Amino acid sequence: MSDRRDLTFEDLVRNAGASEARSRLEALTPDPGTLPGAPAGAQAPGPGGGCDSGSCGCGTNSQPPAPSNTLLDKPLDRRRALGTLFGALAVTSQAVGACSPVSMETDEEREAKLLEREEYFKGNYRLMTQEERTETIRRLERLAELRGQGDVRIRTDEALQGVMYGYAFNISKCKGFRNCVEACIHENNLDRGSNTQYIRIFEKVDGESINDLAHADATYGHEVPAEGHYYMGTQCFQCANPPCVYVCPVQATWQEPDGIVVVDYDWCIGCRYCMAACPYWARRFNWAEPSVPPGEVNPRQHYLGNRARKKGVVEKCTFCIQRTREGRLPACAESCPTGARVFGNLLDPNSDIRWVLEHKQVFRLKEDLGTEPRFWYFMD
Amino acid sequence: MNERWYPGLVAVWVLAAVVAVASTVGRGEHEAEMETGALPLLPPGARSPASFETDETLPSALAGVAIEEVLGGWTGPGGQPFYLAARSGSETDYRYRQIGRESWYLALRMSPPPLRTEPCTPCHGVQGVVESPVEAEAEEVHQNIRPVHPNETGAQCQTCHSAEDPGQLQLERGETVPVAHAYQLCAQCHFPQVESWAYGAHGKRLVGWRGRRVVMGCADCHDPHSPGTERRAPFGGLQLPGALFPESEHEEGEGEPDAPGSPGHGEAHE
Repeated sequence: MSDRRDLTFEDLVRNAGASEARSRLEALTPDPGTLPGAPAGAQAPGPGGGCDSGSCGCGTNSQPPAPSNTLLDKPLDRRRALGTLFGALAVTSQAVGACSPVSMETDEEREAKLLEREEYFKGNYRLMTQEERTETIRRLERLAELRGQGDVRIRTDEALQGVMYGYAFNISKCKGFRNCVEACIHENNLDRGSNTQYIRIFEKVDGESINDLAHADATYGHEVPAEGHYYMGTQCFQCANPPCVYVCPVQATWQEPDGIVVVDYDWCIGCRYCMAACPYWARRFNWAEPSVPPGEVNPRQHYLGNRARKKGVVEKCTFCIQRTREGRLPACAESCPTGARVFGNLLDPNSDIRWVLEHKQVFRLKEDLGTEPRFWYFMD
Repeated sequence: MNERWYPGLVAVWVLAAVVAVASTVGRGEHEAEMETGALPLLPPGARSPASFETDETLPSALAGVAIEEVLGGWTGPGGQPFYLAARSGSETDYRYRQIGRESWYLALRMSPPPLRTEPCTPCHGVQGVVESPVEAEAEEVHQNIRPVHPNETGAQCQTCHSAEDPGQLQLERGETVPVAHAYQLCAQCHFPQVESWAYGAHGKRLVGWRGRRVVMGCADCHDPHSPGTERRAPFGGLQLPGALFPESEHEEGEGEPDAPGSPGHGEAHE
């Protein structure tokens, strides 16, 4: 987003920052009608058209305001203005606190507070310039260090060109051992406190329909494989027509060019509309502050993947974006002891996943909903 | 038909032939696009996925692991060669394992280590499998063999093992192959499984989804003498149903007055 133009103070006065950001986001979001398999007429329920009148002063169509009206000739947006204001307040209160004899704050705590405040006022990931991204990565890595999570490295790898990820799950092979669940928890730094898990393995009686999940048991605690049962894993299917993305009121979740649906954890407002919209129960909400024991934090992180989440935001499976964009397999596929999980590039005609799709009987969960999951089930 | 039309007909025929030839020539360039046409979204300006096939960086993570090319005429999708990672066999921890420089979540079979780790010739010499030196020793060395597969199929030791060199496997057509390349032996009966394995629908690919394709062999997952899957406790242990997912209990419980409908977690109610 190198062409980002900061709003001036006049824009701020006219209370137009929000619509400016919104219209920029609209320009970034692909039209759902162009997605494969999208039903004709399916449109994102976003605000229609934004500002066409040119009189609202949001700056998308109108001329930029005269620079003579800016505050101290310094570009300013609402977020930055509020950030500065709160910064000034914080400095004042610290100055007052320094005079009192009971100030127990260490330097590290003060630094963490400062970083947290700067983090609080940062923008949407897709609107950040490269410098802003570098800055926020630096802050997040330092915060992780201050919180005792070790030497965390957060990457911002973009989607690989010519790659569209796809997944196939062999219901003949899965024996329900849940090694994938365990690897997923460790790889993605999932909250141990609430026992958050992205993957669910359903145990189903032989012959039962795959779409009939009402009679499936995802909480079995006996030795597996059980006689007369088969096992079926669900996680986020990275739908090509993702209802969760369309319902997000703040566009904090979107689909990347390689098909992975991601969440900007710092932009999510926790309304949970996406959870209601997802027909596969693929999203998880942080009811409490997520916690990972310090020694178990996976330090190889991605901004849109397994970095530390916070209370009150939604998270989801990203096909291990921090691994797959390096060319590695997702943790679930790597840890599967039965080889039931096949992962690869749908656009590569010589990939394993393409061979499975072309030579095995494949089907998808709740296919009639038109969500076009990129996750297929198959049998031997 | 009037013969005056013939030159016109010939001209039309020549034109059609030229168009047909031209379209055949042009198809080579667009073949890749046609291949991917059935599947969604080749992003504009995309690099050809074929360029990934030479990516050698990922298998470098397998440093220290013996990698051999798969033999016997087996190839992966698109006729690509693929590779076999020989594992040490003494590993029993299926959770995390170090391969080369990296830690991987690699699940290994829980059955006893394969015989590959035990050299054959010190005991058997070149005299053959049947002439094992001392019965007691043989029992000690081979005690981890549970001959389920031979018993079910009526096979003898030498149905699979070479009588001359017990480190080799005996194919029906007379050749012998090293134990590491057992897939050639297995394919004699289990052809569909080995075919699926060669193309990626069966078995495990290691390390990366792109780059050189390195897979595990048949005996890395299946105990050749007892190839079935053993029952064991799943992750989370043996516990009362429902104890594993406190969050899902919360989701599906009644303590959610603000839940907007229930399509999100409606799977349990549909």
